[in-house]
Amino acid sequence: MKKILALAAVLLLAASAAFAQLGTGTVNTNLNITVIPEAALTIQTPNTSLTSPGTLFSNYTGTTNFTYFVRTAVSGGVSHITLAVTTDFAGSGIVGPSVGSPLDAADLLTYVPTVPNPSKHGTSTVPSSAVSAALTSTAVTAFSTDARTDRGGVSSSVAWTLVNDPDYQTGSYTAVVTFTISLT
Amino acid sequence: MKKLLKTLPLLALILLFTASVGHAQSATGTTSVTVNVAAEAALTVASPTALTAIGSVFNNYTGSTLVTYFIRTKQSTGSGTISLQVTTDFSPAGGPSVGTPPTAGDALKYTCSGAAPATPCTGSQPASTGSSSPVASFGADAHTTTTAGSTVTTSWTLTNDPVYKTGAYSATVTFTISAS
Repeated sequence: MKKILALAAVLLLAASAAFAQLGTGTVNTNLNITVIPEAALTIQTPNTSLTSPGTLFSNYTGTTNFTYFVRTAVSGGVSHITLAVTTDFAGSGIVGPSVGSPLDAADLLTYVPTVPNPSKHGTSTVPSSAVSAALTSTAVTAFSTDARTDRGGVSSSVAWTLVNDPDYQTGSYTAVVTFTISLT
Repeated sequence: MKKLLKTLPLLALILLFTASVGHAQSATGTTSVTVNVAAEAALTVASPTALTAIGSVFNNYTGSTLVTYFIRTKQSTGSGTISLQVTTDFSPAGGPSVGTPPTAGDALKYTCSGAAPATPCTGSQPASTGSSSPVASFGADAHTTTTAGSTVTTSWTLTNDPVYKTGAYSATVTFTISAS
């Protein structure tokens, strides 16, 4: 009798196991993702040249192109793009342009940003007038809450103007400008 | 089933790698801003210049022209000049003339004055319709230091020949600045 009961138990277990392996039931699993605010940019003009027509000491001008990607929080979140002259002009002349210590107070490096609205949602607000570049961060644009671009980003630019002071010595001068996109 | 279990980790790894490569952006980017500062020059001239004679005993006509200039010459091998030329002789006819003076010896002449970085011309210079005459010269690494520019002055003398008919006469003098 004991043997029969043991055999029955084994048969039942085998049957249940066999059913679990050979059955066609479905099983669900949840994929959970948290989309957080993010922001990034790429620079299309790693070397920006400022040029002048060469007559009447017309100002030097040039353009830096960049692409931004942004996703700000649906509520309460914003994003900013800023730039700073992280390395002041230096070059073959001793007396040349300078952002930190200009020869004359009017010798400014200024810029006008062109930053279209995010391609999917939200707004971009640039300064209302030309901005004087500085060794510390200055504004390029501010994005609204729930600002979103598509995967291709949004093409933007900064148009530079440098005063052509006759007091500069001739030569080539280079500064480094760092663009930063941030989230708050 | 076993094959699938073996393949899944590799597939996940491939997907993760692809995702990271597809979004190679960052929060910062830099650009090098370069400007080539070249030799350059410009000037402005106050116009018109009135030549007047003092008294009534045929003293010469005199007057002066203020030239405001802006200049930048190359650091080690640069130079510059300011020159002038009578590009339109006195008119109407019957009065003074630079190109064909009514009397030999009738002349429009000038002297120059000014401070550094200019070196003004020395002595009395004859103005000419046929060629340019010197006003100032500049050496290497010469540059004006203020946004208002620097100045040189040409002081004119025109012979007061009694043979001139009475009336108003006008000539055009062109100043030219160059820098290298």
